[in-house]
Amino acid sequence: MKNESSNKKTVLIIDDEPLSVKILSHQLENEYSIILADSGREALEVISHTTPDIILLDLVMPEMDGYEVYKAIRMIRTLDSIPVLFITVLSDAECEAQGLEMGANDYVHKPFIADLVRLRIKNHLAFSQERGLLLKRSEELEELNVKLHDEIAQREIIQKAKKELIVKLEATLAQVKQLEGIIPICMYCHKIRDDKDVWNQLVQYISDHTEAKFSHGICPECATTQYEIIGNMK
Amino acid sequence: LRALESACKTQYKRGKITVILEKNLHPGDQTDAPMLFDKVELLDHFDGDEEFAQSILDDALTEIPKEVEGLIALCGGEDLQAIRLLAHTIKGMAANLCTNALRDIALKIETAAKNDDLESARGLLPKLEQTTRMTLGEIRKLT
Repeated sequence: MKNESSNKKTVLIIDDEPLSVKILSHQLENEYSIILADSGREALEVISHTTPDIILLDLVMPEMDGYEVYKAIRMIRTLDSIPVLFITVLSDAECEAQGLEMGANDYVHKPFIADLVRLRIKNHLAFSQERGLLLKRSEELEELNVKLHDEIAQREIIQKAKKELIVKLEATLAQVKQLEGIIPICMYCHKIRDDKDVWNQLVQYISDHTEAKFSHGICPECATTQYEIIGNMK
Repeated sequence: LRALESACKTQYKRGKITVILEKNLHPGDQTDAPMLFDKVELLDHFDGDEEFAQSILDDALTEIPKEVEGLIALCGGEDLQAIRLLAHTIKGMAANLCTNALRDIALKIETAAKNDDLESARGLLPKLEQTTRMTLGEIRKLT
């Protein structure tokens, strides 16, 4: 969290020992905004409404020790990647090992050496920022990947549909019979010569070479002519 | 001499240079035992800010006796966890104040309590009282 007015990063110091708090605050107050909590419970109350950029956490505290507070912090989704540095006395190798095994980012040791404390915090904030950027980039890539997968799936569907359409079209085309080019026809009787040199009636030829069918009706001219013939025959 | 050169180069305040000079002009005062109070180191940790060091030492003159008395009282009982916690607090405070002898004796009491050894913790109390007295004396001399 950045302090709006000063643009400083925020350090949450969780420690029940007033001298430690005073020293750390003094060493950091020029560069950072400081929030203090003198117990694990108070710290959890603070982080329920504030998100610090880094946490300095004393390991040995009454009621709720640093390990418990650490676990509770890591359970909070918005704080699961915030650097937590445990505060310990330089000689506490056992505590250090336990904390590092739990996933603590680092330690600040008592006695607090101003330069070292500031450098550690600066480095961990830089790591955290880099990590944040990497995570963001990774999420973006993940999103892009999902989009690409969707697009590939869409294209596959389209491709499949296209193939199906082509198959249908080919089947339809196979059914279409078409007459084209020069057809040899007798200029008197209008019979048509086929590929086997057989002369066919026009109706027969068209029936064989197209899908067309004939109704066998009678046109008005023929009707007149034909009725006359039939009448004369009577 | 190296400490003095470093202090001059980094433009530490006059108080630190005085302390370095005092320390080096009387080498006979130094022994292998942990120092009761190392003001040079303390100033080093605070970027040579003598005013702040002074304020911390003023607090220490109140805080150390309060916590040590509390620990002695706790050792009269049998709450080893409370003894361990308070010894740990004194150890941390002493480490921050560069009062190394006090830090070491507090560590011993903390370890005894951690090992459920109340008798050893109690046995260390006279040494704790003596070290506290001497440490406070050293701090008063320099404040």
